[in-house]
Amino acid sequence: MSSLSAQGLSKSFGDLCALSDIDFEVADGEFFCVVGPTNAGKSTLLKTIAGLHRPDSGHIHLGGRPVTDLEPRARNVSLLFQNIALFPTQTGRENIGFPLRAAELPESEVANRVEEVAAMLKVGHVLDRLPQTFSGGEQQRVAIGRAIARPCDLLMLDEPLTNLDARIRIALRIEFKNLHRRLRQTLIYVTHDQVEAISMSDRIAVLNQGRFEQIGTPDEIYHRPASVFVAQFIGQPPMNIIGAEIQGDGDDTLLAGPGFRVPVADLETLESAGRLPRQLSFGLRPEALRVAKTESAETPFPGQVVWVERLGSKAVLDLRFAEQIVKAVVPPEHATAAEGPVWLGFTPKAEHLIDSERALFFR
Amino acid sequence: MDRKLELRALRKSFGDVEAVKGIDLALNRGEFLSLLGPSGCGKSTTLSLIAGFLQPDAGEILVDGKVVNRVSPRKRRIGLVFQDYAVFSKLSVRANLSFGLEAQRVPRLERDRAVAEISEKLNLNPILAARGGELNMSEMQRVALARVLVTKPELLLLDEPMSNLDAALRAKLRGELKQIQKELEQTVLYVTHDQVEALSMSDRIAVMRDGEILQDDSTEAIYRRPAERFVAEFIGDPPINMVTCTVTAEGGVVSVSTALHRNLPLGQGEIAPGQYLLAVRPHHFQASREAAAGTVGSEIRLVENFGAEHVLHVSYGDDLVAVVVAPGFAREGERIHLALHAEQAHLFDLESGQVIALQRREAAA
Amino acid sequence: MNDSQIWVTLLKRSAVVISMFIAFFPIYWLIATSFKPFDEWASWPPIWLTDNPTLQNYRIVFFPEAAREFAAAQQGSLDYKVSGSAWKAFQDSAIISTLATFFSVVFGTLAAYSMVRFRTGGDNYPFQFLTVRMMPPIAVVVPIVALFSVLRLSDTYFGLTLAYTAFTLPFSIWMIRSFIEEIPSELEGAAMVHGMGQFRAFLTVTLPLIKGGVLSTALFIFILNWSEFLFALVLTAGNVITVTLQVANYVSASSGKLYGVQAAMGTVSTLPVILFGYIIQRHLVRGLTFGAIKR
Repeated sequence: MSSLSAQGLSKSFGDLCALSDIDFEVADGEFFCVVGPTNAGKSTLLKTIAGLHRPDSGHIHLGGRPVTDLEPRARNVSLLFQNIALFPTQTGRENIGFPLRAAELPESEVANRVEEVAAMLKVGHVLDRLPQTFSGGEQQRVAIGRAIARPCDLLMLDEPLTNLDARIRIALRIEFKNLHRRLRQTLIYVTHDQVEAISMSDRIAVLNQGRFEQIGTPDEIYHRPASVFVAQFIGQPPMNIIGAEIQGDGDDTLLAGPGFRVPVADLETLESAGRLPRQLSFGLRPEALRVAKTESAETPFPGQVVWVERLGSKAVLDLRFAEQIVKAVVPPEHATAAEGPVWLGFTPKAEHLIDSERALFFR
Repeated sequence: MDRKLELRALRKSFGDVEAVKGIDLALNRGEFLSLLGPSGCGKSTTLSLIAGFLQPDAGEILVDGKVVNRVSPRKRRIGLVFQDYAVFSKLSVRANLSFGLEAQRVPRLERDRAVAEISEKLNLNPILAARGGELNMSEMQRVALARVLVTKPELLLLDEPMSNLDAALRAKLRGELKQIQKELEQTVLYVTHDQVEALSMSDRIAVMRDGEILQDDSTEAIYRRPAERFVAEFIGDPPINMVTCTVTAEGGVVSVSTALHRNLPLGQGEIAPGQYLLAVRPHHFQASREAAAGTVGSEIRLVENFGAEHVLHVSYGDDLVAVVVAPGFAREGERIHLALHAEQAHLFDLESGQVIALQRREAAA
Repeated sequence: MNDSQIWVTLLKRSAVVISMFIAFFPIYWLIATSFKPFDEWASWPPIWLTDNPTLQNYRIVFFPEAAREFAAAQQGSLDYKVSGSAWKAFQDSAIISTLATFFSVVFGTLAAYSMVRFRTGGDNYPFQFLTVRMMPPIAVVVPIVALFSVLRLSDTYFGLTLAYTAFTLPFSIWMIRSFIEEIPSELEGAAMVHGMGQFRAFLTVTLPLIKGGVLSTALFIFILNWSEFLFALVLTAGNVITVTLQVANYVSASSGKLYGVQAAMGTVSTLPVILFGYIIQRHLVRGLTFGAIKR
């Protein structure tokens, strides 16, 4: 049974089209992530599902029942807002207890549940204070507490880790994942940070300008992106896109470009293998680029390191190659992690061939 | 040595709260130094003291060797960029750039020349006529930067300039900012809570906590030779693993035993045997499918997928340790075998968190 | 501190002193005059502080016998017009101003809420509302008099309350709207997702936050109503009388305006406003949503 199903959701604000023809389903107990840049329509999507926005068209079903015309409170969903939206005149205790009190649960039950949630999120010490005295992390946790206080069919979290210190963010990433496992709660998690999306979720939907570019598991999204947008949005540094020409055919098919000629791996797996245009481009993950100080069969093409960014456990190289700048990731102590000439090698994958005109990957 | 900025025993309190507890810091010409620490560590207060928005309770601030404690902010020749860019949206980029110079009553010809120069360097020529409100975030950041740089500040202070941006854009701007800084040989003090920004751009990093500088060192040394437990834990993603261990020293050779690994030689040193903390970066655990000499079997409890790499959270005694592996290496619930590269691990005192100095061969690349 | 800084400081301070003088002089003069005896009311050169302070003016305001005695003492040279005491004027003004303020703020809050959250009437609607008040009241007074006499609302409490409510409503809407706009819709959204209807969310979440704004609006509207003169003048005929009308009534055919009595009435009539302001001052504008929102 799918917990949420949305068909043909569209929503505009005046001339601005925030969502256009969104279709997706979230399975019971799934950790579903919506990722996209600022203003992609992520918050609008959540508010529409919560019932705070009325869609211009489309239908929403929750646990099999149609909810498109229901008021927010009748949908049995919960939402953690991007800007937290704690009630400023209420203490931490009142904020967390709010959904329970609104549901008219007995006071003793409300009190117990609040203590339970507060203990789980380690915010017991702020329960009797007003939100204005909370630190950023405490605000966030209390808001999470309010969002999960009452059992619901669907929990939605809108950028819950944004604006927190990087260090707290890393710790909370794992906490969220553990929390989800414990609660087995159907969850939609919205973020602009592809690291969060890919490391936490069961499935990811990449949202761009109000449309889903692709929906899939983290591995599908990362290894078999559908569009150039997805390929460059997911993964840091982003996937390199290199222009090339198809030469030969069948088993002898080669990709050639300025300064390189390479075979394509697993070309026969591609449905459109026989119908590829001569001119195309291909994607290359920075970690798939082999870099060495010396020429070899593995690294036959000359390149030039023009910039090195050291990130502690790894170094990102900017390489001048094939008349453009491509990025590669190497260990920091690697001999090539310094500006100067190097040798490169790579084997493009069939599923990373790109239809340049439509900015889509061939399938 | 060409000292651009020097802080001597700088102190600042707000009521009972001591925000900056007597810090010393020096910054050379053309250097990029990051002040790195969590929220509330005093880094932004330090910046405000240097800029002159706050008066220190004690200590001295020197710019070019001269004490500037009593000099008004606008006469310190310090440029400041905040996280909210405050680019005037109704003005053209050109007008935005010359705004600071006009305020300083720089003659028109000179002004135009300075604007032309900086827009050339920061690649702003194509958007000079655009209005502030029409810019995207990347352009906005460059304009905000150019608007400060055009006044040729002796010292550029940046206060978390990227914290409101998308992750993808941040990564792009890091490189741009560093390149501009290098090209102009601009002296920069950069305040951030993000260790990736600090690592990727700085020549030097000063790690702050509770109003004190814990370690002020080259970027390389901060990552490889943390002097404090806090520094080790603050730098690196995934965070460094901390496991308790028992140290034995025999004939000058220091060895450690952890919950799983026994008698790993660490290096030479004179330390008292006992309980210590062993810090191991996730990259310095090696996971294999097969048992081998020096490996210990353990269960994978959680897998974090980062696309290019996976992080396994593996049982290690009562703790979990993070181990970085290639995608598809192993799944949750499986058993793997862990080797620990002790020569790249650090030893910290359990109580004080101070690093225990050891002599050892530098690991070959 | 160098010379130019001293001058700047001096200039700033004198500006403050001058504006305070301009603001407070009429109040001082009002109070001073209210304690002056008859022959000092309009004497020249002016008497800044009287040597013969008297409560006679206040007695005339509140006790009709005192007024009659006063007229007699002036040996008929005073053709005293006012019968009846000011008590009724205070009572009428209190009833009408309070009711009109209440209705104006309640309707104003509801209307403003609907305009902000549901964009009722479009983006310019509140402004169009406000333009009603940009017409000088004197321009609309004749049709209103005509309308009121047809509807038989002239000289009734209900009629004047209605007129005041209608004419202060644009201000209410305009002011309260700006307070509601400051409250992020997410706060109500949170209440609604967590189990409340829209109106209950408004009452429990938004209203407490804009309380200070609503009360300052109420104070402002109350002052407008309390000091209104034109409508009171043309829409009443003796049955209803307001404080401002009563002040204007203290005239005599022979001596013109009775300044001292008017001053006494004026002094007393500011007291309710001050009282009201004092009661609500601790609720007046404060940081509305501090701590609620991640910035």
